[in-house]
Amino acid sequence: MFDLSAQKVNAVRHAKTISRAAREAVLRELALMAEGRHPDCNTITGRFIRDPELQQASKILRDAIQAEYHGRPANDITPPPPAWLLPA
Amino acid sequence: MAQGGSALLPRLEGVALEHRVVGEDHRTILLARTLTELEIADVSDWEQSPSKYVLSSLKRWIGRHGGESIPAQFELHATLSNTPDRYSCEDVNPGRLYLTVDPESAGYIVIGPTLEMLKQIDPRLPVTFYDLVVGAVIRWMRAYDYRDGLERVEMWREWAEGEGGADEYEIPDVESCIPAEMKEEPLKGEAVRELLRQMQDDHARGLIEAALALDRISQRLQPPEICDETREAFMDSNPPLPALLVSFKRNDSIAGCFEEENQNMLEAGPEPSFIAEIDPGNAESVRQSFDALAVLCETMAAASRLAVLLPGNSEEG
Repeated sequence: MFDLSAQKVNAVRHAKTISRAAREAVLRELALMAEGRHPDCNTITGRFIRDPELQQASKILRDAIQAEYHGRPANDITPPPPAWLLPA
Repeated sequence: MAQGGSALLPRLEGVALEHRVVGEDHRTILLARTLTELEIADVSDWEQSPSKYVLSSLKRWIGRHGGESIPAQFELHATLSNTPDRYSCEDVNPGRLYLTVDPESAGYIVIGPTLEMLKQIDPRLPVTFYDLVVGAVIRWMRAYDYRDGLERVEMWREWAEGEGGADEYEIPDVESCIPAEMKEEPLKGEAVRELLRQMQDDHARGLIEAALALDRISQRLQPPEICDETREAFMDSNPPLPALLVSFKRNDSIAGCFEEENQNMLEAGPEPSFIAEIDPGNAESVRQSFDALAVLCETMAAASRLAVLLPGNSEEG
């Protein structure tokens, strides 16, 4: 006799194990994303999104360029964060 | 940059002046995680993007709850957003996501011929049927029916009184297009079941059974409550758009009132028909919101299937 029911039970168990493993893998990736440690977060844009200092530095640079091109008064320029040096 | 006494800015000719960065919102990542833990999301949808994953999960969830039957009668649009008001884009609460459902257009049911048929069985059956069907839809989405028509007419009368008298204006006669049997007292549940046991007409029996099923589905849950903060976002909004128009005859005065009112429904942004506030990291909150969406979808799917059975409803004209 060929026990089909035992085969079915094994197949279901196997599918469940694969499914659980896949779910855990997705949850691990999501946890890394939430903590900013996922490889996707370490691209230059990923770091930019999460780093307020990088964002502020780019604003300072943008303002400086605009002031240079359009002759805006220097007091319009975004103030640097504490302990940062003003441009020479 | 050059070393020296002054900073030399690099030349930027040819460099794009504007960059837009589309990042994954922290709330979306949290929601993706919670949907996975609750097994609402299917991991086969995972493509390294939480927002795509959440969207696929939402589509899959709607599909599992009658999504395929809904478009036969209704055109509904589900949105998951950081704002409850799709017209303002204001981030009301940085810890919340909002699941909303709105109609893109209203489905149309002509219910008169069905009521006429049911009247032959019992004079109280038409109003019972009407209450079961329209009441079920109204629990989840707005339906425009004779009550809205009467309210509209009352408003026009008041306005006309101030402008020289109602006789000077042609105001639709909604009252006369309401069948007399709609003034009867609806039957209680046990009386309906007793009538069903005695009913010879299979078509009528099918309709009543479908209406009872629709009523049961719609009452599985109550629509979610929204907090005052979210409510305030709709202080200046119009009422929700109707997902359904119910008239007794095709193009009767109720449909006329709807057409008239329809012209102004988007003068101010309308409130969504369904809003569920989601705390994305809280499994209970996510579960409740998705369960409520499931009942809404199953209700609208059941209403859509029932509409096909109504005599005279599919005739064009």
